[in-house]
Parts: sequence; C-alpha cells; structure tokens
Amino acid sequence: MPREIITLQAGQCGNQVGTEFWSRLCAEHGISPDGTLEDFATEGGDRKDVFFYQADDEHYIPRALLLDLEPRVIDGIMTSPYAHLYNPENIFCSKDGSGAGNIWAQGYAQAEKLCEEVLDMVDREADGSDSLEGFTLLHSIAGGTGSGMGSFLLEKLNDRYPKKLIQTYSVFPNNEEVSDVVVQPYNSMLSLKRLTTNADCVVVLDNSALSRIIADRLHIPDPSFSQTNQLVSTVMAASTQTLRYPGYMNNDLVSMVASLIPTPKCHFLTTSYTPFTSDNVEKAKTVRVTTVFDVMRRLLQPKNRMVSIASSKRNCYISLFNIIQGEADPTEVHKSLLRIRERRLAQFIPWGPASIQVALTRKSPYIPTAHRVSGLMLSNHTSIASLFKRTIDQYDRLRKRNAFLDQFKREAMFSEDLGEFDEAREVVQDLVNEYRACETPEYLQHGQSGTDGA
Amino acid sequence: MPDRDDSVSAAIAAATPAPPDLGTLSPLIQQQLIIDDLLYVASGGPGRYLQLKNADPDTAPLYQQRASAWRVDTRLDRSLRAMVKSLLPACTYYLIIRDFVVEYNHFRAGRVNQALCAAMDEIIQEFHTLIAQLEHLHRSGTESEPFTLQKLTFYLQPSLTMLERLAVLICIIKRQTEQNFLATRQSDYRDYCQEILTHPREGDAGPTVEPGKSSLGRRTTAPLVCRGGRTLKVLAGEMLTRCGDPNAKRLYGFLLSRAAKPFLAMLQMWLRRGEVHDPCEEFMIRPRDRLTMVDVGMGELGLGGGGGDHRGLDTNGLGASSPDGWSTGASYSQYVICLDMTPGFLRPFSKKILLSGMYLNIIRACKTIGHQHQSNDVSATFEGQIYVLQIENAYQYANRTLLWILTEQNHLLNCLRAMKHYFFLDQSDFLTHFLDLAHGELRKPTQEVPLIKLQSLMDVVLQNSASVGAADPYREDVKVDLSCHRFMDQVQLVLGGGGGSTAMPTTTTVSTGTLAQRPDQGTPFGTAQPLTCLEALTLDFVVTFPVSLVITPVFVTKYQMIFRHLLQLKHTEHVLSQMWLGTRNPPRHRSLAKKGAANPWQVPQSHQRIWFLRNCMLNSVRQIIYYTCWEVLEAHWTYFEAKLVSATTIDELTFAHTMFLDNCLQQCMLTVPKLMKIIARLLAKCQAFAVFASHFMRSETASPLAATSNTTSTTAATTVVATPPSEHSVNDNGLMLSPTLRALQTISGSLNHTSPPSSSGHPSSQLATGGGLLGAAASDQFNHRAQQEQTLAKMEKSYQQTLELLLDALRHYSDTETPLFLNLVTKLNLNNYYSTGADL
Repeated sequence: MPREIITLQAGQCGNQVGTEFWSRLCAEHGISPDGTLEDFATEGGDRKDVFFYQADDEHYIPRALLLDLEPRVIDGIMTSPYAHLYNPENIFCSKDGSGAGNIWAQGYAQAEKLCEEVLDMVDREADGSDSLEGFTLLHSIAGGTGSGMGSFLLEKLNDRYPKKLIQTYSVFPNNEEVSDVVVQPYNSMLSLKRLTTNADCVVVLDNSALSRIIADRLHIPDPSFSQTNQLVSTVMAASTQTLRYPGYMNNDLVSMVASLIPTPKCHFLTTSYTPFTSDNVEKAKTVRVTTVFDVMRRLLQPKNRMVSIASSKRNCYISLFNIIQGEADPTEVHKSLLRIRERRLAQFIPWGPASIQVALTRKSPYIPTAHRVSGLMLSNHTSIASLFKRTIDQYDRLRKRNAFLDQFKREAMFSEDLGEFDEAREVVQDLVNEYRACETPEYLQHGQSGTDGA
Repeated sequence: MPDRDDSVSAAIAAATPAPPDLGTLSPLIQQQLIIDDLLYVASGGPGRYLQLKNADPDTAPLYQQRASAWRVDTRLDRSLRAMVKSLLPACTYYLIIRDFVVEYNHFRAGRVNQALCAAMDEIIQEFHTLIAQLEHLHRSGTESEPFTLQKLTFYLQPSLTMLERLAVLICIIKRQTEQNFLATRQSDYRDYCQEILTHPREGDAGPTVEPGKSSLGRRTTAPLVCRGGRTLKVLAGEMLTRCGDPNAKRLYGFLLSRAAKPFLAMLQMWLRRGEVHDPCEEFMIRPRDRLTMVDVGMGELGLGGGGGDHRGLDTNGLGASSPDGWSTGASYSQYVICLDMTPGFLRPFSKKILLSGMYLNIIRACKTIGHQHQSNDVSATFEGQIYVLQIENAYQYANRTLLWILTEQNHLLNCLRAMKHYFFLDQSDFLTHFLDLAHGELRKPTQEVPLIKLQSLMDVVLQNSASVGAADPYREDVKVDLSCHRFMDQVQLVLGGGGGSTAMPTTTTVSTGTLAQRPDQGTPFGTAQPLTCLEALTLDFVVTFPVSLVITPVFVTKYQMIFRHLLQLKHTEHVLSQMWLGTRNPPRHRSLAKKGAANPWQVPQSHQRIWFLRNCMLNSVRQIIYYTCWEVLEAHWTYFEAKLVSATTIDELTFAHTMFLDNCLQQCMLTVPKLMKIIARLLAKCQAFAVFASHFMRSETASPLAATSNTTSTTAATTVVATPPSEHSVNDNGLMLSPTLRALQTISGSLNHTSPPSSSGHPSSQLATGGGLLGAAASDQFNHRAQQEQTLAKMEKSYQQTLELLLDALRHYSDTETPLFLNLVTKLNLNNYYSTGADL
C-alpha cells in the first residue's frame, strides 16, 4: 500500500521516544509486543502498513530503524517485551559502543564513518515499500548522537531522496535549567541548521514544556523520562492518526504538511494536546469536560503548548491544524470555529487568508478512553522564533568565550576553522528573522526576507 | 336479440291461432286478456297484443325506449292502455336484463361479469316467482273479485324500480364497452391491429379481432372492455351515486358483493402469493407484457403522478417501469397497475396492492422463506370494509419481509456503507493509491486508455491486503468507468430536466443510459477538447438483485455525481500538495545556495508569491473538501443511517435515501450551475497554476547553471512539439512538456479572457510565454522572466477574483439553497481577508 513512512530513531532520546511510540501504535492497532495480531483486533478500519509491514501472515514489523552509537538504550529495548517486535537487521549500534559523548561533532563524524552501513539499511527499507512517502526522524538536538547523527542523516536523506518528505520530531533541551551537557548550545545550533535547511517539517517538542505540562496536568512534580516520552508518543500517535485511520481527508502526510507550511522555511510546528491523562498516575485520571469547543479552546491556550515560548502580542498563527479524535459532531466543530473567531482566541497572520483546518478522526477501538473527544493541534506559530532566539543567545554566550570547543576541533569538520558554527548561526538567525517578518503585514511585499539585518 | 325474439314470436304467432279482436270485447275481458299478455311478456314470452317494435336498437338503447318499444294493440281500451304502458317498462327491463345475463355469461366476459350475471339471474328468478304468483292470483281471480290491472301494478311496483336500476346499470356497463370501442377504433385501433399482426399471440388476441367469435352479441368485434375491475368500478360508482336510496344501496351492495367475489379472490391471491391468475384480464394488476390495447392510453401506470408523497416511490424509483436499466429479476418489475380496472373502493390502496404483490414476487425470487403469511379471507370480510385492514396487513407484511430480506439477508446497510466508502471516499486512501498508480494513464485522453487497464489498476488497489477495505466484500463490485460527458455537462443534463429534484429521476435515467456507452461512439461534444481520463473518471457499482430494488441506477448516478465532484477537488488538492513537495525551495538546494554571493538564504520575491498563492489555493480547496465531506456528506449520512435502521417499510427507506442524496447534491453545490461553474473555474485555475509554478521554480533553479541544460531542453522541446501531442515524452526534469505548454497557453488565454489584456495581451506574447518556459535563447531569459512574473500577477489577481466571486455567490445562494453555504463562507474567509460584496 502506498504512502509508507520510515521512522528513524537516533540516539538515546530518539530511541526512548520511539519505543514508547511503537508500543503505543501496537496498542492502538491491536498488535501484541511480539508483532502478532491480537485476537480482539478484528474491527479493522485501520491501516497498519503505513508504519508496519507484514513479515509473514502474522507478524507486523515496524518500519523503523533504531540507530545509536552506544548500546545502552538499544540493549534496554532488546530486553523489553518489545524485543522481538523490531527487525533485528534494522537495529544499528556502533561496534565500539563508545557513543558520541554528547558532542555533536563526534556524532556527526561517527555517522559519516558508518555512513554506508546506515544508508544501506535506509535503502533496504525504502526498497521494501511500494511508494514511500517520507521519513520521520526522532531525536533530540541537545545530545551527541541524536543531534550529530541526526544531522548527518538529514543531509544524506536529502541528497538521496530529494522527492521524499522528511519530517522530524525534535526534542529541544530544557532551556530554563542548567544542563549537565555544557556544549548543549553548540549541539542545538548545529542541529538547528540542518533542521532548517534539510528537513521539510519539524515538530518541536520542548523538554521544559513537557515537564511543565506533566507537572501541571498529571500533578507529578518531577516527571521521569518515560512519562515525558509517553506524552511525546501520544502526540506522535495523534498526529499520525489520520494516516492510520483513513478518513475523508489527510490520508497522506504531504497534504497535511503542505497546508501547514506556506513558506518552506517556516516549517517548525508546535503541538498542543488535550486532555492529558495517564493510566499510570492515579491523580491524573480525572475526567475533564470535553466538548468540542472546550477541546479546541484549550488547544489554543499557551499552557497546553508543548513548547515553552515567550509569547508577545505580535505573535500570530501562520496556520492551524486541529486533529479531533472521537465522536465530534461537524456542526459542533463549526460552532467552535465561530466562537474562536468571535472571541479572537487565535490571532492570525495579517498578510493572508487564515484558516483553521480540522480533521475529524476515529479513536482506536482497542484503547478505552474516558474522554469523548480529544484533540491535537499542530500549528505554525511565529512565537517559535523566541525558542531559536534563546538558543542563539545561549550559543553566543558560550561562543564569545570560545568555551568547550576542544572536542569539536578534534573532528575534521572543525579542525581548520569554525566556519560551520558561524554559518549555522547565520541560518538560525535568518530563520528568526523570517518568523519576525511573518508577523508584519508587509511580509509578502518586502518579500526579500532575511535582509533586514541580524 | 331483437331479431331472435322477433323470429321466435313470429313462429309462435304462426303456430297459435290468431287472438280475439280486442275491440269486440268488453273492458273487463280486455283487462283479463291484457293481464294475461303482460304476464307472458314479463316472463319473456310472446304477447298477443303487446309486441316489440322492430326499432333499430342501434339508434336508441332499448332502455331509453322504455314503453315506446312496445306496440300495444290499438283496440285496447284507452284507460287500460295507459296502465299497461306504465307497466310495460318492466318487461323492457326484464328483456334487457335477460339478454345481458345471456350475453355476459359467456366465458369471455370474465368471471366478475359471470358472477354479476349469476347474481342478476337470482333476481330474475325471484321475478319469475313473482310473475308466477301473480299469474296464480290472476287465474284464481273470480268474477266478483277479479285480478285487476291496478292490483298487478301494485304488486309489480317494487320490482319495477328494481328492474329499472338493474337495467340502468347494464346500460352503463354496455355503454362503457361501446364508447371505448369507438374511441379505440378511431385512434389506436389501426396501431393495435398492426401490433397484433406483427406480434401474434395465441389466445390473447382472441377477444378483439377474431371474427369467429361473433356469437357474443352485436358488438363482438369490440373487446368486452367492461369486465372485471371495470365492472366493479361501475357498480361501486353506481352504488355511491345512489347511496341515498336504501333499497338501491341494498341492491347494488348485493350485486357488488357477489360480483366482487372472483375479483377479491384474485386480489387475495395477489396479496398472499403475488400471483396473478387472470385469464380474462379482469384484475387491476397486470403483467407488463400482457398489456393490451384496452389498457394502453387509458392512463394506467398513473402511480408516478401522485404528487409529493409519491416522491421517490414512483414506478421509476422502484424499478417497476425501468426494465431496461437493471436486467436482473425481470419478473418483479413486470407488473403494472391498471387504474382503469381498479374499483373505486380499492383506488386509495392501489399503490399498496401493487407493491405488496410485487414485493412478494421479489421475496419469492430471493427464495428465502415460504409464504406462511396467514390472512383472513378478504372477500369474506368485504362487507365490513375490513378489506382495508387486510390490504394494509398484507402490505405491511410484504414490506416488512422484503425489508428484512434486504437488510438482514442482503446487508443493505453494508452495501450502502460500501457505496459511501467508494463514492464518498470516507476512507479515501484507496483513491490516493489509485491516483498514484494510474497517474500516467489518467492524463491521457479517454480514447487512448483502455478501460480494462484502469480497471486492473483499481483492482490492484482494492485488493491490496493492507488497505482498509481489504476485507470489504463489496470491493469486487467497484468498476471504473469513463464517462463521455464532462462533469459540468452531466450535471447540466440532469439539472436541465426541469431544475427541481422531482424531475430528476426521468432525466437521470436518460443520462445513465447514455453514460453507459463508451465515449468512442462519438459524443455530441466532439468539437471540444477530448476528455482526459481524469476528467472522465467515474465509478460504477454492481448492485445485485434484490438490493438493486432500492439502489437503482438513478441513485447510482447521484452517487457518481458526488464522486466526480469529490474527485476533482481531491485531484486539485493532490496536485497542489505535490507541487509543494516539488517546490520546497532553498533548503533543499543547499549546495546551490551555498555558492550564492550576498545572502545565500535570500529568497526571490516571486517564489514567495508562488508559495503564498499555492497556500491560499490549497487551503481553500481543503476547506471545500472538509465542508463537503464532513458538514454535508457525513452529517447527512449519520442522519440517513439512523433513518435506515428505524425504517419499517421499503417506502420509508427509499424516501430517506432520496432525501439523503438530494440534500447532499444540493449542499455540495451541485444543484446551482453558477456555483458549479465558479468551483470548476477555481479548480482549473489551481491546476493550471500548479503546472505553471512547478515549471517556473524549476527554470528558476536551473537558470544559474550553464546554458547547456537550456539548449538540451530546447531540443527536447522542439522534438516534443514536433511529435503529435498524444505522445507525451518526458524530459530530464520529469515534467511533461507539451501538456505544460498547452496548459500555459490556456492559462494565458483564460487570463486574457477574464481580465482585459495588458501590454502582453496579444497572442504572440502568449506564445512567447509558453515558448519561453521551454527555454529559448539565453538572451531572452530576462524577457521571459518578466513575462512569467506578469502571468503570475494575473494568476494571483484572477484567483482572488474567483474566490471572492465564490464567496459572494455562496452568500447569495445561501438564501435560496441552504444556509449551510454560510459555513463554507466562514471557513474560506476566517479572518475576512477576502473582500466580498457583504463588506461593501
């Protein structure tokens, strides 16, 4: 079947998020941890082949590549109940197993060395699909493997599959706290450049926002990684819901993404999800009111956004896409739209027609939920620029002192000069400018974006 | 009959001695003699002093001649003669009735007439008894107390009125036959004879033209029209007109109950078994192929014209009179109701009667259950009007059973869901796949692509084990078809029938018939550009019997219309999305951008504009799709499904189905040609833009490269232009050149058409625009670029105009069509970006 999506999981974060994602998909499609179809999974109406392929009559295997430069996380997966879900050939773990040491340059350089092997895997997977729609990369941009290897993969995929869509779910570091990874701003900056230039669509997930949401909604003061990852997997599952449960519209990734991203450069999407509950946490089981309007209204609230960004009055939505799961009545949806418009709950770009796109989709029949309706919002919001701005500031602070550059200079890319850093900064600054320009009514007229200085 | 009577009486007169001359006798004797004579005549015998005139019965019916038909002996006493004359009509009536009984007792007259005759015969027997009794009184009369004419009058008076009523009735019955004979002889008779000659049918043709059967009476060449249901109709009508007279009512009631017996037996047979056993063509229901001249042109099949409540349930809607459309199970559709043969008291139920039996036939054709249907004898309960209840019961039973068969055994709901699935694309992944697979084929003109190829591609898609519908048992029923009409033409063909939905069924049947033909038969639109497969693509759905009863070709056509509408929208969305994929720019050309001079990340303004316009278009198209799918189709479907589940009769179901489709068509903007045209124009602009923009962007990115690529593409272009446009070759960019050129020319053409030509409006520059895209000499590059930007500007303008036009039109038609249009207006113009008439 067409429109397959290959998922690449790079690094610790990517693989952990991926694990949660696959276990969630398995649960939604009624696939047991060993890949066989559960007995109760007969209701159908879903399309498993976007993310899985059938090895034989019974086994469903994720179209996933698990990539890491150190064995710890992968080993963890191989001892989990989902050990036999994945195709062993699709698991790549660097032989020396030293990891990237949280250095972007190391991750990138090692990936470069292992390039052939990894790309062979990608090609094999791509060959195994009828009409590949694109790739999804799961990674964090702060560490070494996810950011470095991820960046390398993005560049290579771009060259090799110029006609395929490249989407990433990128976990941004917690900017508000001091990280134990001191070179994090460097890593972020270098990754951001690739995300800007080599990806078609980046779903930004921010660790600080995720922690905040979990703390607020689930009342857990100090959430664990697995809890944040669950959140991420929920969001990922919801955003692919229309692909897996085909409806009238949005049955391929391109049509969804294309409407969200008017200008190719502004392809960083923020997400919101409501209502959040967790079966693991007793306190979080409270059922919230979920009328369609409530869901749509809450999705627009900044506190539900999974990126912590400083909003200003000038910020506006470039595009909005709501995925409403469950029994939503189209007339209710329309009423909600009218109310949102009336109350000016969302501010739109001043230079073009605005639209709130809505996709109504079914829920998985196998997962009982307490809520009638739940919703995910994918939005292209200009306030995301503040996130990049913050990254630039942090980078500038480090870079001014030329701190912690030794480990970067060891790699070939940075051995001669640090031009790569400057170029990356330039790209990100340009991106920030582009978003700023989007907030002005003259965006189209002045057209020559990025010229109004840094 | 008068001939025969005359000859008999003449014979008798010859045998018997001449009667005494009345003039010589005393009035008393005269009275005795004349009473004698009267009693003779009244019992059918010949009279000595009373004789039938040999009047020509053709000019005036016997009944109207009353007493004047008799020649009374002139020598009779004047007062006696007056009294005799007042009694003579009884004799006339008696003769009329007797002749009628003889004539209509013939097996050709039908069982109802026979039963009527039998009933009349009973009355006549009573009359005979009366006459005998009177004769006895007459004979036993003494000199002192003679049986006088006054007494006779007294005794005969009740019978006289009764006989008169019978005679009137008979005359009406006879007149029916005569009038009809005359009418048909004038107009249809020749045709009918022609038909009889060309299609001779043994047995059936009998009652009309065979000369050997002339023994029936003097009108033997005329069919005995007044028989069966028609006789009953006359009877019941007569009963109704005389209902003020209790005696008459009793008399007619008696006749009716007797005469109706065979009819009601047939009715019962029909209601309980769905069979017509009707050798004499008496019944109100008739197999279609046994329609005779008598029925044609008499307003049978009148079911459809019943007004609002018959909507969707006319014979068309039930497949009763469209035997050419669906060939399955011909038997059920072959019954028609013959209103002329329907007695008045059954008239209100005629539809139900027809349907009950038809449903029973269908049920039998389904071979599912026996007929355990227990019903009381309809005829037994005739008097108390309980037959109404019986008909109602039978109807309900047949209806319920058929509904049960349809929903439970044939999974009607699943079938409709499958239709929704394939026509309304509620899981449209299969279409995406199909469009991907058949991409190359769909761009070609219809004549160049064999249907079977598309079908096989569709099969590949539908039988893919991973698709949602992999387990769908109906997937094999989906057939690809290529319509020979443009979508607009098809809709206008349908709408043109009268604008209203009531006129739709007939017109759509017509169009289905023509649509079924392959386009290679030469269309009336042959002068226009040939349809591409994509424009012509439609689906067909094999509906099996008995589901085809409720999903008739009319319905399928409506589904098809919505499908084609959706397909156009989907295709446009697809094109724009693909264009997005193809024109994601500078990031994907990193290596290129790196070498740029001042600001490597700088984006040309034209690109910005193209992205913006693309985004506007994509959003609008997606909003229209969302509106169509969710707010119209899904909302109505939910309602319809609820109706479907709760429906207790087929009629309810059909009605709900009709409403569902009509509402969908209306709210999908398919009932207003103007709206459709705007939508079509909008989509055409989007598609043209996609072609233009991807080429524009390609040439843009290719421009910094050496002129070598330009020259190669020039040569490629020239070769392509040289070859006929049917052979599309693909250049190294993977872009088809000749359609591009054509599209561009049409674009600039249409642009010039819509907006007044600016500086580049003349045709040579249009050509240059098209040609420039194919890469001409490098020196012209700048000019071409300028022209392209002009084209872009025009596109921006015309798109905005079109969309604003659409918004205005939607607002305008929301008053007359459906307020739901306003929802779409809101969605398309959420932040009032577009100025519309309402804002001014």
